[in-house]
Amino acid sequence: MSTTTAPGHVIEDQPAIQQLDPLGTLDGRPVTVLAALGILLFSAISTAVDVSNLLHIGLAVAAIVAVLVTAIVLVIASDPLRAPFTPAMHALAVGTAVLACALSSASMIDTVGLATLGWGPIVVGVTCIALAPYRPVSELITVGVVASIFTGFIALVGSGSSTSDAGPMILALSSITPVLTMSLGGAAFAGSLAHSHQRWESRVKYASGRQRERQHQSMARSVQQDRITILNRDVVPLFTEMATRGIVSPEDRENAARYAASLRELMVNEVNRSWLEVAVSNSFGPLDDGHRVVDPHRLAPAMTAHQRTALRAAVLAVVTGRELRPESVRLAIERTATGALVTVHATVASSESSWRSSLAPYFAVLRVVFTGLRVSYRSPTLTIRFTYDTP
Amino acid sequence: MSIGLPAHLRQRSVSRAFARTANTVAAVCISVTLAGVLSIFAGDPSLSLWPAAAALVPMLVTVWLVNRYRTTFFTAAHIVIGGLAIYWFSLTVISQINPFGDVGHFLLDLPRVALMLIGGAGLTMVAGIAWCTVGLIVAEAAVSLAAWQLLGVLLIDPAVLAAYSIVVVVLVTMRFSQRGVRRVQSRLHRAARDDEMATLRYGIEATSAAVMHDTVLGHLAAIANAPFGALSTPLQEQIVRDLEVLVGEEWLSESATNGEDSARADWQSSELLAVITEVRQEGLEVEVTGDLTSLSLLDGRGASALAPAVRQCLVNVIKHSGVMQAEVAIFASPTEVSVLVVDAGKGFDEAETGDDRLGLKHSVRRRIELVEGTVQVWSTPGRGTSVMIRVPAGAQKLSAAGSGVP
Repeated sequence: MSTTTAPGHVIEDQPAIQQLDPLGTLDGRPVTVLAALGILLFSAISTAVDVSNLLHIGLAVAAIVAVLVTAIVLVIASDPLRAPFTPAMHALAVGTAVLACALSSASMIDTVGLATLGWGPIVVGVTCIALAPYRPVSELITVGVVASIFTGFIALVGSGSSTSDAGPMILALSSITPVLTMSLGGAAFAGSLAHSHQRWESRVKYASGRQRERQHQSMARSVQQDRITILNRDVVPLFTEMATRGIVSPEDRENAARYAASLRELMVNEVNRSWLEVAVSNSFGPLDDGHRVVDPHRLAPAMTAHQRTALRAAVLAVVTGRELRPESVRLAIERTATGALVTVHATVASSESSWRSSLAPYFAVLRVVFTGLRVSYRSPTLTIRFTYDTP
Repeated sequence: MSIGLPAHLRQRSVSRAFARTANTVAAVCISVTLAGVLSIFAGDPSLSLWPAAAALVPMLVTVWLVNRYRTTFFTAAHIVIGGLAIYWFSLTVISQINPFGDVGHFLLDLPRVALMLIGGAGLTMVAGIAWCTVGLIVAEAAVSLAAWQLLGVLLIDPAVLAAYSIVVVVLVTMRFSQRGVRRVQSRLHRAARDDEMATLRYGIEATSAAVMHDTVLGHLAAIANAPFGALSTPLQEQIVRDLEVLVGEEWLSESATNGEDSARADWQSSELLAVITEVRQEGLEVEVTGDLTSLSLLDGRGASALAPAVRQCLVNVIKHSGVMQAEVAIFASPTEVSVLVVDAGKGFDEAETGDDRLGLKHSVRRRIELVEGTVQVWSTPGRGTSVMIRVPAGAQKLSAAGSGVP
């Protein structure tokens, strides 16, 4: 279960697919939107077709309104810019669907046959399965089972006045079936994808460990060569001479002080340069003016590996894409009460629909790994803000 | 570590997940049907419904097999066995439940949906739809044959056709919605690789900076402050050692920087004693207290990081404290080794030390952080300084995530 509101640091006993694979979830969002439209159309058309069997038109309309709320929650809460899908939204979506089921059943309470159940259980079931990518498996199962108990109970209540040849048990089973099948099916879907992801992750961890071992030596040689190139210029000749001569002259002291100062300066510059400044500098190349990143409190190193990965990918997208003017991009990191606030300013170079659709996948990822992503646009300036915790 | 599955794996993973979903739905449908049959039988034991219940068991078994072994053989076996089972089930239900009505429709619908859903086992969208269609045809044919034999009518249910249509729509939507973000995903993977390499390079650079600080910078400063004339023998020896280290080929290689586990020494052969001996030669009185045997808890990397860090603390005492006495206290818990370096010198305010002060930053703090240890400094002007260095016991691998990143 989710224990914090911070998406980048949501602690889940089993993470949702949205957390593990935000891009995959974004890819699958059309299915969620289709499901939302489907339940709305299905309930409305079914009600219209069965209008002659309705006893309480008001309740039938209220049921459709409840389905409308479910559909709106599904569409809005699954928006990548609003990730992660919270447990409260999960409860709201399924709760309104169950309410719609109860209202629909009550509106047809005296009609005959299994139709007494109306479209309600199917709407509840579709809602449950549509939420599979957004919540952890255990929560999907719990909510699905609870919702099926409620729909079974609604059917049992309705069975008292039903003239169907089916007994209360069959009516309850008939009501429970769509909810139980689809919620457990959704949980199986989420569980399978989570398992695939975890298996792949463990394989990648092993492979990248091996890769790191292989790379270490060549990278160490490269770093050593860089250092030796610097030292060979002045320091090594001085040391060699001092070691053989054994005498300190005023000129030696002067040289030693000068070399020490320049080496110290080089090392201080290196120490004070964060991974983000290096990444921005490497990605922007000649376009980097050395002031694109403003991080006076040195907060960039506090980002997690996933946060660094997402931000690196976004930087690369800005440089290589045509949506924003690379030369206008500025990134500032400020300290907040609980962590750090990143603000990115950039000038937009394309139409709003174009940058929105091109950058949506990056927003989806940033939204999951960081907290409180906000995107504001006042032509031509795009401002993106997000936060993260620092130790 | 990248975020999300790579594109080439995602399609297969989603297809597998959909198959699991279909199999779960099928299993629940058959189980609910079984529960329905049993509940009717419990309500009226005179009905001979046990053959219907028995017919469902092989279907449950074949669903389990298809879920376990996603092959053409088991899928085909499920359709053949399921078709026969549904025929037998339908014969029993239609002959025993009179009037047939809602109950009969309910019981016959669910196994048909279960058989149709076998299409989820298809590896591709087309195969999935093809299997679904075959499952649907076999299921409807089995029920219709039984109904025609007993009632003289065909029982084709629109609910099953609706379920089939939904499955087809979902399969098609899932297939075509998986193409949008491949480029972004590959960028994420590239970014993850870059980050891993940058983290690795940073670790090596930090080690290099610490080595440079302890050797070249220190000795350049010593030369700059040395009196004119003959170079002191210890300084000359240290310069010779610097040259050997710098010209040596592998001073940043893993084996050189990590140390061998065999180097995790007892006190007498420890690197820590060597550096204490070295600073004693420079005139510092060092009192060593605590549990000296606890150093054996450290692995090679920990020991190799601890000794130069303590050395730098002691060098700082010589350079900055104004006293020539220090205490090194060593103690341990099962998970970490702690070394406290204390002096009673003039102390300092860490916040007021300049950005260019590299000793504590490079040679102590970052070096220890690279082996996932921690450093705490307590110092008050006029009251001395205490530096607590904690290094985890045992092999601690450099984490690619989080720590050790500039």
